[in-house]
Amino acid sequence: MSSEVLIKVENVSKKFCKSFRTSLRYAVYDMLKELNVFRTSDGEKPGLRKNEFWAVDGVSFELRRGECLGIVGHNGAGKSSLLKLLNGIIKPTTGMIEMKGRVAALIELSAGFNPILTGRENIYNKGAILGLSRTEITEKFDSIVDFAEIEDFIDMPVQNYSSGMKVRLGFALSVQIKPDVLIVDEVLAVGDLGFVIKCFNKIGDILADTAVIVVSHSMPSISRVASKILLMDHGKQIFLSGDVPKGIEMYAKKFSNLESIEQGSGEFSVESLEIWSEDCQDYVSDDDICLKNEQTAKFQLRLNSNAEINESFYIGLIIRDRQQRNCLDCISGLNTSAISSQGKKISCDIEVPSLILNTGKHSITIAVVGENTGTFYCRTENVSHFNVIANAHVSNATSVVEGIWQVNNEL
Amino acid sequence: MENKDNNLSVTVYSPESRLRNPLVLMSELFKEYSQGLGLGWHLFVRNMKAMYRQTFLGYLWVLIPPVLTTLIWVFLSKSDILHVGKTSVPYPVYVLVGNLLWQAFVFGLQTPIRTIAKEKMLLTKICFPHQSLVIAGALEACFNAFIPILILMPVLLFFKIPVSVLMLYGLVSVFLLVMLGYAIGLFLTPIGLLYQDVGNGIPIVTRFWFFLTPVVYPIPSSGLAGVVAKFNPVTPFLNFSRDLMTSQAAIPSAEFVVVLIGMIVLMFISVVLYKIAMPIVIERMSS
Repeated sequence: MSSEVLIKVENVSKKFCKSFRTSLRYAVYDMLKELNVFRTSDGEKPGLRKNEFWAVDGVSFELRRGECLGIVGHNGAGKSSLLKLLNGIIKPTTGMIEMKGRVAALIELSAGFNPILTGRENIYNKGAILGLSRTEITEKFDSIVDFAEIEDFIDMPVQNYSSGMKVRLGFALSVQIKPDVLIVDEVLAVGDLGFVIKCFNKIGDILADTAVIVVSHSMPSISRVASKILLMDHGKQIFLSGDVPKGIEMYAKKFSNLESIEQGSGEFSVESLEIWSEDCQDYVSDDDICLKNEQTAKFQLRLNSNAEINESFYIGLIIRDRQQRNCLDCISGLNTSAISSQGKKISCDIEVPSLILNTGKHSITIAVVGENTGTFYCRTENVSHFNVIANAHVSNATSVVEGIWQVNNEL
Repeated sequence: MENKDNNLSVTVYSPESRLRNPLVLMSELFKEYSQGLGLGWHLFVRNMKAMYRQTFLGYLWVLIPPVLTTLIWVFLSKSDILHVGKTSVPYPVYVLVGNLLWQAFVFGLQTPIRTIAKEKMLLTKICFPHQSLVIAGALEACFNAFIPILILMPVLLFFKIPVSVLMLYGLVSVFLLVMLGYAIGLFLTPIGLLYQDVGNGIPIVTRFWFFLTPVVYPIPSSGLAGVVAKFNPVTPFLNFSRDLMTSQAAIPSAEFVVVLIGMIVLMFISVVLYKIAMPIVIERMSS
């Protein structure tokens, strides 16, 4: 990569205070300290005062033009604080941030709109706030309105806009400044599907010429746009790499709740679920069994019947991946009638001819559903887990198949 | 590509205090204020439009307070409830001009905290030259101070006050009065954005201040009131402005010069304080 580094972050830390009143006191103290020209304790990291914590703790990275960094982490990991630091809204406690060129931040898109002024007036105002001149805005006015799709409402006060319309307008304005650095926080969630797709296309459009930083909890979005990933935990930088799938995997691992959860009404309960193991040539109840993507998978399920029910029912085997995406449902009664007989116990042999799932750990949920009432007589999450190995390194889909390909070269 | 990259402006965010290097600070301030000028004007226009769009009487609201206050004091004086000493111009003129000038000072004093606190959303979400808010506030204070003066000046003719070029000088000194208030207000802004006590306290303090300033009555030069008035920074500016605006020749007093110098120094301190304090304050702001 020959393009120049646009964002350089060196060992940046930021501390915040947990108590508001104390934070106000510290603010006054900090102001006085800033005024003290002769202070010499420079360079070293200051300690924490009472009630303080590091919201961002020693983060360093570089980003070049054309690269896109996805920042992931649980709530309160310091992502938004880091974005505020990058955007220059707050000052780092230690460390240094260097940004080159025009910076656009899609953080709170409806910020800077005055509710009782019209959309037209607000475009000029917010444009001025973002650093556009009046003539620049006039030139781009039509394309902004076009992109935001609000032609009909342009002379209506912004307070009557829907939240989606405000976000559209904000986004349209922000990307119009042709940024060198684009910072995107989880803002696009408000827009409707069409607009989200439009935004992603627009980001993809300017990506080649821009250094982009994206914060999102949506792993599909991250894996779609990011070329680098930064995983944060309690302000610390846990993982920084170009291996985006690995970063997503590490992030997802933090949430893998291996406890099984019972959500049904309890007429049925799972006694055991065993998975056929190729190695042992037997059914095993192992949480870390490995299955191959195009192999036949076999399961053996035993249910206890705890109470009589008055209708026939279906049994479902629901498979989810790490990101809790529903990958596969295997439901009894799709080609046979619903199960009506009821003994003390039910045991089923289930065979999935080709698993087609993508690489990663998967969890199984077992459900028993009434045919007519739709009641969940049993719904047990995380009954068991298994790993899948697929020969696909590039895919982020829930399933991958080899397919049957016939490639012909045409002249 | 390389060429293009080399021309890019570089922004550095680092924790050290800007005060350490006064020359850099000065050049930064100069740059930021010249950058913030256009935006400041824009924000000012926006605020003015928005402020009066939700009123029925519109810009009349600028006139109502000084006219009402004047009527009250003239009424008090006419009905002998209040005995005011001899004034150099007819009493209604004295009160009206005094009120307009006092209001100019109060606008200057109150505007910075009010306008900047209103922009919490902007400050906490968008990176923009914060100095533009100082400029927008100053424009707003001047607008609110000058419009009623310009509209009500013709009333003076009714009281046979001669029109002269002195009135123009008077307008310049009204500007100084606004700036005196603004320097004090801006000085209090960072702390006022942290603690609402400041915002709550200012109206109370100004109410007392009003009575210690020769707004509606001349303050006797002897006695406690005289001593307080002597150390009241508003007095020299206000008296000077009123003399000029009622076409009386006036020479700046020694106190006037002292206050003028003090005001310039305070304004400078306030501007620097605002610059270094804002990042700390914004951290504590919620939007």
